[in-house]
Amino acid sequence: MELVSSFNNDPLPADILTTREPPWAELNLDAYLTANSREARSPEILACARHLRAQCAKVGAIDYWYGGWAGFHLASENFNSADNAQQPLLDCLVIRHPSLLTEGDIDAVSPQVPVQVLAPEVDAMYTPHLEAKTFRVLQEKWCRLSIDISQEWSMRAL
Amino acid sequence: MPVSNCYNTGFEWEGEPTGQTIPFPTSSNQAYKTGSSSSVAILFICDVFGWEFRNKRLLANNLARSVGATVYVPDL
Repeated sequence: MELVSSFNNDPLPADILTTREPPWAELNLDAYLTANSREARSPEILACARHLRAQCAKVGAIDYWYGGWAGFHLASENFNSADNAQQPLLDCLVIRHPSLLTEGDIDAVSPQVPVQVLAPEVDAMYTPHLEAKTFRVLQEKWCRLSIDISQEWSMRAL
Repeated sequence: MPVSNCYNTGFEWEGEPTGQTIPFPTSSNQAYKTGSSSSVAILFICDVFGWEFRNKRLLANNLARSVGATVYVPDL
């Protein structure tokens, strides 16, 4: 099994959800993440959010794991409304167990966007360092922030 | 990269998604859409299981119902 191309062509098979030891070597996640890099997916995701912002009074975003970086990215973007006033692209953001997140993503979040982070207590992708940075930076910005690392931290719907 | 079991541990939910597939945000791409609000939108960014994954769509249905929003799961 080889995972290449985009989500559209080759999402992970759902049956690995119930596989105790998925064949990670065959799944080749590194190639998958390269094919679906931030650079590759960012324009599409931005276009979706901009489209909704142009049509709707309130726009939120929610994502999990792979989409974690994307949520922060959207929360740092502005949008020129019809009367040309600048407003944040998002009105709120919920991210769960974010991956591929950089420190720069956290620095860039707009202070106008309330952010909720749902993360497990032990998380190889959203490290204690990134979590502490999220706490520190977003509070310094006076961003409305909620971080929950309780046991039942998220629904497993992915 | 580190591989943890956080995203591959679970189960497939039962039920049929009630939303629809629409062209989004342009005619060259598409999204799963559920909910009837014209003023509140939620962009639900899919994960490695893709935008057609049933769990994701059922969760989008529930999110739309409980929040009173229209939820979009774009095809990435």
